[in-house]
Amino acid sequence: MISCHIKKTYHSKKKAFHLNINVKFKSNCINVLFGTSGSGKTSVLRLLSGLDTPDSGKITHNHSVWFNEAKKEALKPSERNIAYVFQDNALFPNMSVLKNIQFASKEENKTLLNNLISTLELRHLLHQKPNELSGGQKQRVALARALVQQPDLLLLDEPFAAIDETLRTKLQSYLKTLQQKYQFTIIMVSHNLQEVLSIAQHVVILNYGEVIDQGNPKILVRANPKNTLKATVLHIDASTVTVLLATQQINIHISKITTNSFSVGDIVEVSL
Amino acid sequence: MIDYTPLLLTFKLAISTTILLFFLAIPLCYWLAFTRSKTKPFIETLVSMPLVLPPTVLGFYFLLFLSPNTVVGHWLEHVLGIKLLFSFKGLVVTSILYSLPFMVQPIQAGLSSLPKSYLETGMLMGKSKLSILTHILLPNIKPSIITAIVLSFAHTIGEFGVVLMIGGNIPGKTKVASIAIYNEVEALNYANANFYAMVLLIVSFLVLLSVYILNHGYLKKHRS
Repeated sequence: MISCHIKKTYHSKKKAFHLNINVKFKSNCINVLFGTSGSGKTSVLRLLSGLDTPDSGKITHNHSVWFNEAKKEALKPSERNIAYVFQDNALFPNMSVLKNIQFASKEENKTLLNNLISTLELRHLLHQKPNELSGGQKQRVALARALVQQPDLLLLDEPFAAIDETLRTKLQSYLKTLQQKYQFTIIMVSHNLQEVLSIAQHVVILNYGEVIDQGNPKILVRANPKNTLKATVLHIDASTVTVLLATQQINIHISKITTNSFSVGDIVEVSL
Repeated sequence: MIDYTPLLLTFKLAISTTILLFFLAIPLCYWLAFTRSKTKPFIETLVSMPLVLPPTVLGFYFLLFLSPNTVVGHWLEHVLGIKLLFSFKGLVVTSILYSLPFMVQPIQAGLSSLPKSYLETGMLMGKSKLSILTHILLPNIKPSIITAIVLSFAHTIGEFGVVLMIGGNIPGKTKVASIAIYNEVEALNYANANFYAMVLLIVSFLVLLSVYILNHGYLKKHRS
């Protein structure tokens, strides 16, 4: 269990963004941080990894304290046994695929290395450089490089955002297989509702820097009407309103209410 | 009869300065590229000063600073036994400071242009700063490194004011090619002056040409 009760204010030129996170991520499962752009998902990953430092609060992983502002304790990022796959993959362009993976390995573990190369179908790519790979191939290499570190926690920042639907489904399946095989915790950022429903075992919904709900993804969608997310109205007809929620277009049947109170382009709140 | 010593001394000075400056500048470039310290603009200004200052101003203050009458000059000469004024060592030290921006600015710009995620991925892997620098960061800014090395080398070849102020004009010790040209012109010996000048001109052209060819080749390879 990763328990995270932290506050952090990010200052930009225009305004301050307040992050107030109280959440528990489940161990050995796929947790998904879901929310609209700018809701603070990536910031949570950076705070968990230790790349950013919270202003206050506490982060614990099982019985280990990663951060405790009250006691001035803060484990270095390298001491948390975390692997982080950034949005841009951060594959090192000067190294081949094999070198990228080997460089990340803390100890020589040829069995793990071979297993990852086989599972992620990388054998034919081993001597290629990152700039010779497609988007999906880069994602697979980034996953292998992260997992060869044998992390307790794998952080994935929108890993499948720039990939087409077919490849995304395949990569999700790789991720599930590897998670079940090696039993580690995943916290993945996504603003794709379909992705959350297909991969998440535990979902945390963020909105404007705060956790508005968490739990089983299906329960969240079907049984928690109190949670609302901001969406843009795209189209209105007699019985349906189409809204843009994050990157998803959703049709909402509105037979019981009138549509006079809002029009196309308005920002509305949608209950899940 | 042409004396080749000034040319040899010039290349010896340029090579020594470039090698030492490269290793001294790397930690400074790393700090400047990634620090959030409020002192960064102050340090950057100091590093860039030789770009705008007349070389004689820099040479004059080095001359005062390293004189045996100052605390530093006295300590260097009497405690460490190092005499920097009017010596080749002194030329190397002042050349390093004078060429500092030519080495620092391209490398700093190269490091700053890399995605921050390279550095952070290395940190999360538990790699040391030295390992991140030598395995991840520097190999990915080769064009910047080549530019920095060649510019520092070429700039040192062309030094005149600072060298004259600190080194004087001692044959075989501090009389480099740029000063030899000045001497030959003063003596109305244009043939010799032309020889030194032509060698410097050709070498400068060739080193700069090599930068453009190498960087063009690198970019072409990495864009394909």
